[in-house]
This record gives sequence, structure tokens and C-alpha cells, in this order.
Amino acid sequence: MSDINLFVTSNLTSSERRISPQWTLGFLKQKLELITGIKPENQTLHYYPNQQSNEYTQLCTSETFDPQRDEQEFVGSLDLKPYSRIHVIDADPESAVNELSNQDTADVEMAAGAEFKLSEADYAKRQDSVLQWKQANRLGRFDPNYEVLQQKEQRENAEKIGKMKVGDRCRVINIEGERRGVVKFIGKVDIIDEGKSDWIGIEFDEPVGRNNGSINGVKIFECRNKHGSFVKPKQVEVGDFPELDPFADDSDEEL
Amino acid sequence: MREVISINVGQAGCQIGNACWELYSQEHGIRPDGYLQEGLTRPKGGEEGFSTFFSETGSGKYVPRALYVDLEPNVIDEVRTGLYKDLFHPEQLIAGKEDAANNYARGHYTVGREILDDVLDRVRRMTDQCDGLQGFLFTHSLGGGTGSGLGSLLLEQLSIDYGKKSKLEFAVYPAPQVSTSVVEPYNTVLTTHTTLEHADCTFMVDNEAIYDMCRRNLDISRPNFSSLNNLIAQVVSSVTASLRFDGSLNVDLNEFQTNLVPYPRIHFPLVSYAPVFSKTRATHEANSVSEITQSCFEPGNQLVKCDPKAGKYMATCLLYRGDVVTRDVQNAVAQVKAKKTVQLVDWCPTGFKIGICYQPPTATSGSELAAASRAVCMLSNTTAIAEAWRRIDKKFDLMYSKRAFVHWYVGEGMEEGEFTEAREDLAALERDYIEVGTDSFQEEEEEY
Amino acid sequence: MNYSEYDRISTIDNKLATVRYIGTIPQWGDTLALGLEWDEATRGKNNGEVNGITYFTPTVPNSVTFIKSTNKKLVHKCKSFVQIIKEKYLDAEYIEADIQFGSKTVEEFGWEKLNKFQSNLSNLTSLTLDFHLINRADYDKSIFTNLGNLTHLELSFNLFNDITEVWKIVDLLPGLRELNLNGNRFYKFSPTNTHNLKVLKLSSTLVTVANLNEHILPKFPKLTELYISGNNYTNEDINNLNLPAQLEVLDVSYNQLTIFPKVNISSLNLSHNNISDYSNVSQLNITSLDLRNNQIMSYSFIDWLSEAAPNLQILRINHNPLFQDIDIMTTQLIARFYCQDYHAIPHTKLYKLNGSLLTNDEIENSELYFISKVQMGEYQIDKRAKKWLYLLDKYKPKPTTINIQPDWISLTINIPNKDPVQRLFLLNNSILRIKGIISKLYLDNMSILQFKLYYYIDTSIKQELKDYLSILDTYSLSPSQNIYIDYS
Repeated sequence: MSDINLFVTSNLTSSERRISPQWTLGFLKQKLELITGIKPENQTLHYYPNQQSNEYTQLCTSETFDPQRDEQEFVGSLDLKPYSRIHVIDADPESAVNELSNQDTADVEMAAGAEFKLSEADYAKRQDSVLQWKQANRLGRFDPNYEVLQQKEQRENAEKIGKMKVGDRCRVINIEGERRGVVKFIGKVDIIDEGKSDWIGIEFDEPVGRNNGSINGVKIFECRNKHGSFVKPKQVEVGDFPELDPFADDSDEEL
Repeated sequence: MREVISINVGQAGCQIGNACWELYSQEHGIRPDGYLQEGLTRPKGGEEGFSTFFSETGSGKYVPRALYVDLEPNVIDEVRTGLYKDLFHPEQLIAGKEDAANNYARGHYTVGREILDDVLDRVRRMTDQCDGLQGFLFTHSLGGGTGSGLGSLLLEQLSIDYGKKSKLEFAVYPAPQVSTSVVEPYNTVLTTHTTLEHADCTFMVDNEAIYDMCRRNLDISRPNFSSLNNLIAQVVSSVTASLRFDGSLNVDLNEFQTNLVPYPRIHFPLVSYAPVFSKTRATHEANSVSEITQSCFEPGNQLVKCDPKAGKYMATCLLYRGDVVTRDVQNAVAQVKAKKTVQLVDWCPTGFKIGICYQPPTATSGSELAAASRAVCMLSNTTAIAEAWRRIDKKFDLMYSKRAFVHWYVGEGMEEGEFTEAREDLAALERDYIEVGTDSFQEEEEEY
Repeated sequence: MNYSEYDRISTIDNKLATVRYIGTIPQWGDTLALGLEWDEATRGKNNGEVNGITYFTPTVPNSVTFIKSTNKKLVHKCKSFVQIIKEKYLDAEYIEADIQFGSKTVEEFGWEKLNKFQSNLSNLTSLTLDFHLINRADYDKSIFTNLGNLTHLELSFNLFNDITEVWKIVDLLPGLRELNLNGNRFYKFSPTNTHNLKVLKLSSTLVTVANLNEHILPKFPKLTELYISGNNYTNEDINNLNLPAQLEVLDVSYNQLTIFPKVNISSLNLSHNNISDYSNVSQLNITSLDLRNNQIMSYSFIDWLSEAAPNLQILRINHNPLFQDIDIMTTQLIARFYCQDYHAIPHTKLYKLNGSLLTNDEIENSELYFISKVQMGEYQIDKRAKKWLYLLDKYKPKPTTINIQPDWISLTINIPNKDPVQRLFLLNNSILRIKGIISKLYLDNMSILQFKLYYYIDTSIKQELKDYLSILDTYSLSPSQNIYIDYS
């Protein structure tokens, strides 16, 4: 009898596998353990003759686990059809696998200490990190020019701000497309970046903003819900930008 | 001659290899038995082209410069008895007797080590035949035992034996939603750590992304492995097209690194491909240069699920194939700029490059993918791909915090220390991706 | 620009229309107005009349709007083929675009070389010129002489309305093998001579079968592929087609067919029609068939197709009402068609179904499962059907299980703290299976070891359904017998 291709599934895994009718049931369970993580003595096997249907028969249960019998029974006698499915259930509620599936599906916060964290200090000590490279080659903020460029940015922003005032019609164009609105705020917002730079608060014509003029509960300007956003001055274009009416065709009629 | 040697390791590596060599042979006009198709006196693609991937025997037969390695015989046997059995010399197909049982440790230390010398010997014999070896193309999965364990072992050894030669990887990354084995996260983290300093450029492929493309774009109701691998082969072909046909960008293996990798650790570009539509829909699909260019920036055309809009770009390469005109391409790229889809990190040494491969895409008879008159393959090094590492690291932590299944690895001679070392390296990698995306003045795009 | 009736026009966003009226409309005074019949009929607002005055009757109902000729959306330009070649290839000097992303300039590799290459027209084998506003050929001897190597030409969605203009181009390109005219609308035809074209695309052109038969198909006697989708064809239209003798591929998708057409072509695309019926046609030589998005509702259609097209190798048939469930669809189709593993060369039977290549494993599994379902009475097939006899012969399933009427018994399951439910169970199901079903349906997949099933033989004697391997039939149960659940 030749090898059979079938599907093996469990709570956490799904894969196509090849099994041999010459294997003993015990050997099959060992192989299944390596795939699913479920120990042979805890395995309950459900056989789905057609992987596209929900009918199944039970091949064996954990309750009736008998290692001796498993060594004497062969996979061949189970009459498994190619392209069918074996679903492996873990009967031990406290096994590692069941704990993992619970956490997976519940998307629960990991227990303290479970998540690996690399401290800033440890990262800084590493010899081959990007941080090291930037420092060694004076890139990014380690570029002596960085300060100069930053200041240039600030000056450009300041210039832009100089040309706008609260109440101006304006627009912002970026990935999200073109959004038009009114300038409602110009200045520093401590909550965003500890007052490092200036921000422009805009009330958009359409509900395409991030907030209602407040950040983290602190109100910066008056605005309808979902109509407000804070952006950098360079993003804002001030000018004659009347409201875009999505429903109006252009000025010419069509009958 | 500038030869490239392909090495396929493990089940996934060998199956993808099959699909690729089938496609390459058809693209170059070579029959399954290794001889030229009717009416050809030389393989297609020009002398320089095909010879990077195929060697020529005295009797007019063409042999792939490839090696297939697996620790268990099944997949290799399929190659030995399949349609392309005459294409390969028996020495190119290396199978062990006992598999790695989804265990990195078995692939890397115990079982894998036994086959290592044999493999290196075959590699040496192939490289001896080369005039100007460029380097290696490595295909394997990150989650399996052989692909991860033996794969990383081989890559380490190739660095020792061949030093400066380029090594590019196509790596199958574990699907986010459904694992094929419960210890995939361990294998992935361990192999990524081991391989990190040995690979120059790694293109990841996530089976789920491919699966979705098959269902959605190609309307295949139940994609199976051959559907997935055919699509992967098309993409791999477009990535390697300039190596094999007359092209202008990424013409040599080391160019990939030069164009895409600003710093050695950050070498995981995201691959996108367009257009993807099925043969019988072709009349109604959009295929203009600007449309296929835009598609590259859509999540549905990516080979790994992540959100580039949430990240920054360190490098981008757009490679067009087929019937394109310069001005159309320039317009298409200008549209990309206007939509502000791409934010490049300005202090990074790499940038934005567009190239052309003069050979149009080919459709194989087995594939559902239509042969479009033009196609584009985008390789972008984006910080968004770190999402892939975050996902797998979290799964790793869930298990390792309970030391679940660690005994399987320790039992094959590994120490727990290697786990922590690997995990720390991946944590540093995640941190590296954050660091590489900061300090750019493009932060002006922030919005609160 | 001066317009004539039946001129074609485009908007700035590439929407095409036919000019049907040129003149004034009372509301708009002296401004020249155009009555346009839009290709995309949904854009229309009326049927050719405004405020009670009918100006014309469109071919497609309600596809009309009237628009001022000064409307900024309209493009008042049209080009010739020769003009476009000059603009795009000959006079196209390479200028670096100098596109900036932040502080980085886009680097262009190989584009100057490509331009040079393309400016030598004899290098061009394929030209894609869709949406280029072309409505005529013009003539330039050197251009056409140099395009001698052109095999593939796309002129879709341009502004042609006289097919003679297209022929002027085609006749000067004797090497041409593939021509795409999708999305054009032809209103003028004339006699013409033959050409060796192999592939012709006329989808979304609304070209009538009469015009195809008289003015187009005779021009291309060597045609092997014809694409005429989206042209509103009916069953009669297709039956009246005079197809070229060597035709191998026919695409009539997105039309109005309701019955499988009487065409004998090797590769046939019938997707997106309304097909639900078949005729008595048999011995079809079809090897590749696309029947997606139709109205197939019965398995008799499938069984007819299986016998009428014995050489079928590639089939796409998903998105039909018959198939509510992808999984059942695959099983049923594999069982009803003659299938083979895709590795086996040559291909003589069905090896690719709905986009996936078939393997022996999958075929065997589906066929066996299908047989068992038929024996249980859940799936139906005509027992005289050739494929069914073939299956019986291939697998020789055990005769004892052939039951047309399965033996069922209805039981009342009493779930603690819930209302009792009635359900049918097969008498030859084991207790193990019964418990599994009950656990799954009513007890939230509780382990079968955690509960017991029992019934009362008479008012006082409780009998547990205990022996897992025994079947339901061995217990003396009456219809609607109460079964109780006890948590252990």
C-alpha cells in the first residue's frame, strides 16, 4: 500500500501531510505530536473522510489510550482515504497547547514576564545595531548638520505660519487625498510633542479628521466630531479653496 | 559568464524550485528533457542571459544550475519521477532518509549535519564549473525543520567557503493566521537569527498573501499548493528577470544589495507584483502602466501581509517588463509622488530606482495567471515589514514563556541559551527597524 | 471642432460616447449642444428627448445626455494613427523626469536606451495604443514600411467609427497577427480584401452579427481566436454566426445567452451570461470551457455536459446558483466529470477545475465520498448515467450499503434546562456517532464521556445507550422516543 496524502488539523495548526499505512498507530501519534504539540496520551483523533464536509468518525480517544494496542494496530487498517482529514484534539485542558489556544483566540494580554523586552540600554550595547551604524557614520540625528536642518525646518514652518491666520480657508493633500477646511488653531500643543514644534489645527468640511479639536480630553479648538486634525504647517496650503461639493457636477450642466 | 547557483532546501524550497524551473525552462525555450524547443537554435534570452541559470552540455542539452536538498525523500522522489526528471542530473537531487520532524535542531545539528558534507561537495563541483560565479539563490521555508535548520547551516557554510559571493534568499514566512506546525515560531526565530549575518538580501513570501491573491484575483475557489507555487514562481521569475534577460536594473546579484539594502541587517524588502488576473478575465482588466503601478501599492498585491502606509521606505525598485513607453512610466511615478504614498527616509543611502526588463512576462500552460502585455515588480525596503517579525516574536514568547516544546530542541543537543540569544537578536532587529525609520524630515506627514 | 452625426468623442476621464445630435437646445440659447449616446449606458439621463422634444432615438435605451459643446469635460481632439506613432515613438526624446521624493531624486535606468530602441520602428513587435483618441489612419510610407515586424496591435477604446480606417492600417501591416479593437463603435462598413490575422478582439463594440458576417469575418479567413464579449448577443445571434473554419478560441462572455450555444470550438468562454439550459447537442470537441456566473440550476445540466463534451480538460463553473457551497461543488463536479491527474501527459480528461490542478488523491477521495453520499440518498444521480456506471466499475463499492431509502428514526432529545428537540438519526449509526452528533449540536461539543444517554423501556426501567460500537437499530426504540441526557 502506498503513502497517503491527507490533512492534519488541530486547534493551532493546519497542514497537508504524508502518512504511511505501514506505520503503527503509536508511530502516527508521535508524528502528530511533532506537528500539533499534543502528547499521544492526550490525543483524541477525529477522522473526516472528506475534508470538505463536517461529518467525522472517532478513530481513538485519550480516555481509551492504550500504548500496547497502539503498537499492534496499523494505520493501514484504519482505511484512511487520500485527501481526507484527521483532526487532533487535546484532551488535557491544562496542556501547553490548550493554554496557547486560549490565549490565541482570546487575544489576552500576555502574563507579566511572558513578553520579551529588550531594554534601551541593552540595545545601545549591541555592536552591530542600526543605532551603532548611525552613530558611527553620523547619520540621522547624529549628523552634525541635523541641528542645522532642523532649525531650517523650524524657520520654514515659522514662515508658513506667518502667512496664515485662524479663519483662513485651506487644504491638505496627502495619501488620503485632498481635504479642505478652515484653519482653527496655530501654535504649540504640549500634549503631542511637549511643545517642541508648532501645529495647525484644522476643521475639515467633511468628517475626514481625527478628532473634535481635542487631544486626550484637552480641548484645543472648537470643532465637530471627526472633523478636526492637527498637522504640521508644511502640510497646509492656504488659499481660495471653497467647499468641494461632492454632489455637484462642474459648473456646466448636462441634461 | 556570470553564473548563479540556485539551492532549494526542504519541502517548500523544493516545491517552489520545481515551479520556478518549469517556468524558467519555458521562458528560455527549453523542453522538459533539457533540449531546445522546436525551431530554436539557441535558448531565448541571449547568451549572457540563460547561461547565468543554465549550463550547456556538449550534446546540446541544457542543465539548470540548481541543487535540491531535503532530509526526507518524498519531494525529491517526485522530482526524480516527474515531468522534469530528465532536466536534472541525479547528482543535483540530494535526499536524506530521516526527516527533521519540524525541528530546527534536527535540521541544524543532528540529522542535517550528516548530510552537510555531501551537499557542500556537490556545491563545490558546480562552482568549479563556473567562470565568474556571482553567488547563490537560496529558497527555503522559515517554519519547517529542514528549511530552517539545514537551510541556515548551509548558509553559514557558504559564507565560510565562498566569502564575498552574494547570497539571496526566497524565504517562506509562516502564515499569520494558520500554522502548519505548532513550533513554527521557534524555527523561524532560530533560523532568522542564525542566517541574519549570512544573507545579503531576503525576499519573504507569506503563503496566506499568495492564497488570497489566488482566490481574489485569480478566482480559484480552492487554491492548492500548485496554484500557490505557480504564482510564487511568476513573482520569483520577475525578480530574477534582469539576471536572465536583457534588463537595466538588478542585472547582477550584488546589485540587489546595493540598490535595496542600506545596512546589512535591514535586508528584507517587500515584494509586490502586478497585474495578477486570470486568463479568461483578461479582456476586462485594467492593464495600463499607471494602473499596474498603482496596484503595487495596494495590500492585495503584496507577498507579505503588512501595512506600508504605516511605515517608511528606505529603498524602492520598480522593474517594468514588456510593452512600456518611457513617458507612461514617468507619468505613473509622478502620480505615485502626488498621492504621497511613499515616504523615503532621507538620510538613508538608498533611494528610488526604476528600471526595465525588455522581456515581457510569460504565462505557463499550467498557471491560471494571464500573460499580460506588461507587468511590474516592485521591491521596496519598508519598515512596515517589521510587523512580520513582531507577529512571530509574540508567538515565540507565548510558547517560550512556558518553555513549551523546548525539550524537543534540547533533546537534539541545543541549549536554552540559543533560544534567548536568538530572541534577543530578533528584538534588536525590531528595534533596528524602528531606528532606521526615525530622524527623517518626512515626519512632517504626521497627523493627530 | 466640427462634429458629424456618429462621430465618437471622449471626456477627460476617458469616457467615450457617440455624437447623435449637433445643434441647439432651447434652454441653452445659441450655445452649440451635443446629444451624446454614452458607451456606459448608466451615465445616460434620458432617451434622446429633453422637455418634450425628441432629438433622436439611441440604440441603447436611456443612455443619452445633452451637453454643451463648451463643457470642460469634453476633449475636442482626435488623432491619426500616424500622428500617434510620431508623437510616442519617433519624436519622443528622452528627458529625465526629475521626480523628487523628499530629498531623493528618482533614478531612471535604461530608459534612454529604451527610447532609442523604440524609435527604430522595426524593433517594435507589439504596440498598445488604447485611449489615444485615434479616429483615422492617415498615411506615411516610411512609418508603415518600418512597422514590418509588428505582430500585435491594440487600438482599443479609441474614436474610430468607420472600420475602413482601421483596415487602412491593418492592410499595410501584413505581418500583423493580433488586433484589439475593444471598446470602439463602428457605424460604417465597406467591402475589403483578406488578411492573415489570427486573433481579433471586438468586445464591447456592440457590433451586430450581421455586420460581423458580412463585413468583418470574411476579411480574416485564417482567424483562430475571436473575442466578442459584452455585445448584447442573444442565443439567436450566436447561432447565426458564420465562424471561420480554423477558429479555436471564442469568447462570448458578458452577453445575453440563456442556452448553451451550438458551437463546436475547442476553447469557449461563456461566462457572465444567463445560461441555464442546454440543447440536444452532443459530441462537442470543447477542451477548455468557462461557464462562470451563469444560471445553472440543476445537475442534469452537469451530467449532460459531462457526456456531451468528453474531451473537456479545463473547466471553470463556479458562481452558479446550483453551487451554494464551494466544497460540495468540487466534490460533485469531480464525481460527475471524467477527471485525471494533471501530471499525467497527455491530457485527455479534465485536469483543471475552477483554476486548481487536480491530483489522483483529490479525485479518488471525491469520487468515493460521492458514492457513499449517493448510497445514503443524500446526493442524487441518474443510475443509468455513464459516469455513475463508470464509478461503480472503478471502485466496486460493497452492495450491501446501497439503500435508496435510508433508514431513519426520529428521536426526541431532552436537554437539561432546555426545550426538547426532535431530530432524525440513521439507524445504522453507532452510539459513538450519535453521542458525537448530540454533543456537537446541543451540548457545545462537550466530551462524550461527560454525559450519558438513556431512555425508558417502560415507565421504570432505564436503559443507557452505552455500547459505543453498537448501532441504534439494536435498541428497541419507537419513533419520537424520548432520549434523556444525564451529566456524569
